[in-house]
Amino acid sequence: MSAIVARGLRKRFGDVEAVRGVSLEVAEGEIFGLLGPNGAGKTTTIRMLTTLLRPDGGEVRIAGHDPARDPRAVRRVMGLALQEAGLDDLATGRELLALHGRLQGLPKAESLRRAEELLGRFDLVEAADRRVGGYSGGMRRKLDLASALLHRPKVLFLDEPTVGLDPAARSQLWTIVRRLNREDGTTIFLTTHYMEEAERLAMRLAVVDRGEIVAEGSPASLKAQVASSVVTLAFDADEALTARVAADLAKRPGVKRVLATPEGLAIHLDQEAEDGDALRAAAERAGAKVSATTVADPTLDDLFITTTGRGLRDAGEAPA
Amino acid sequence: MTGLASATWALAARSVRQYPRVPADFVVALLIPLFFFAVTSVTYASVARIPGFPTGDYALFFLPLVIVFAVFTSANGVGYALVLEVKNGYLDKLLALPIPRLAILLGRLLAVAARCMVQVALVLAIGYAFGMRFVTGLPGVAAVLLLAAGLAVAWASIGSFIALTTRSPEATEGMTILFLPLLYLTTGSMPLGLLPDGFRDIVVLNPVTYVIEGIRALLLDGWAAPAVATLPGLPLPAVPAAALAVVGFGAVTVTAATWALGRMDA
Repeated sequence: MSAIVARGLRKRFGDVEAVRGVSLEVAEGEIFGLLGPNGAGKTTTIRMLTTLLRPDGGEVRIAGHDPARDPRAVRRVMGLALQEAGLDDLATGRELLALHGRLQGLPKAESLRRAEELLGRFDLVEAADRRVGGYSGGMRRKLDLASALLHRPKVLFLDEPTVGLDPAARSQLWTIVRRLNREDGTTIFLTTHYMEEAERLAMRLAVVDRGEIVAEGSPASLKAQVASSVVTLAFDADEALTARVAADLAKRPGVKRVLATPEGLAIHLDQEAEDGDALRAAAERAGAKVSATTVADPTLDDLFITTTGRGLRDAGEAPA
Repeated sequence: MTGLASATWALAARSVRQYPRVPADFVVALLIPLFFFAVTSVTYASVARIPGFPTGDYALFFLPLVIVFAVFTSANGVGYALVLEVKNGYLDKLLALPIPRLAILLGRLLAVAARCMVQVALVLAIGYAFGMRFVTGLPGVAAVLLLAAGLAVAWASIGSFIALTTRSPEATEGMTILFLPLLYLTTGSMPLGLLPDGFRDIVVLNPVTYVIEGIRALLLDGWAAPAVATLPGLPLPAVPAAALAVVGFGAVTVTAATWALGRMDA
């Protein structure tokens, strides 16, 4: 049985179609990432999967349970850590975990024991009896995550788990998430707009843009779909010249596509790639004064640009 | 999965545990009504000598209004606490737990009821220390505490309703001031017979009037004291009329808050 199944999920807020027919399936024990810019519909999707938002259309099953028919059965098998890490600031860390254990259905003693265990596991023992209001961002995230785990959920949902964290706290959280998956076999569904996070954590990814899934697969296969390597040429030129250079380069063997970037051009190459120097020489023959050349493996950002025409980072702010 | 009773209890215990952590709330909710009581009962003491005034002790006559004032100021905090949890996302975490939703509301209402009983008991204890004696004794005091708890639940539910429907801390905070008309369009400071005609018509429609009259009966006039007005064909004494007013008022507001909580996933 799949841990998560969604078919044709739709949600509209007034005039905005936030989610437009999202279908996905996540196997038990998988770490699945939903990658997309801010405003792509990731949070709306995760809220519909976790009983917090009623979809306008479509079907969901979480470990076989239907949120529309039996939301409490879904809530029993899932854990949820949300983007804002909204917590009860007046509670201590230990109190908060013990309360969540009780509310997740554990007997009192078991709830306290699990709280203790998770405080130790997430390195929060020292802060356990301090009020949550005084916790750092990283500590809040860890406590938020721990509060979703008291009852050992089969499926764990993480909405932008590391937004706003410093690199050390981020990598610590990634380690925790991977361990949960490896040691406890927890299925993990996470949303992110960080490519690095998606690549490091997810076994399989769906790229979402404007409420629709535009690509799906393992990070490696998705990148391989884009190109075998990407050459970027930096030069100053007006639009006409840039277009002429791009058209020239596009005709060369092995060139899959040429994209304009703020710095110049990005050239996506097939397996039988030309090297960067040859492309630079060709661009200069066409009239561009190239100031820098880089050759790199394709990234998920390249994937995003080729599927949506926009960069992952700018897409959130770009007018629809 | 957790049942309604145990989830409500766990959530109420959380709120109660946290009250002393914001001592300012407690102090304000007690000091302001007491200050007000001290000033009013001293400056208006001679009002009790007006012909037609039912008692010679204005302070004791005025005490029910102070009790209700303390209840309102305490219960005002519930909506605000709830809207902050809507805003920061913690309510979502609670909604995603396998508990009946109603427990989230009932937990807060139970906690505020307990808190108001403590505060009102303190007000009565202070009155007692200053020589006030209550005609119905300890059972009457217990009944006053229950009326206070009921009114707290009713008023906190309005705050919760506003919190859940507007999701705006400003709106939730702003509406708390509405307790003032409810408090003053009553017989809290003057008996019905001495109020002007038009005012009297409004006062008998306000449920808080009946609560104040009921508390006053318990402190001053005894269990059998008649109500200021009752439903046609339902001639109840003041104390049951107060209970009925609290239950009726509460039924409407708790239903509204429950409805608002139920549509959080729309």
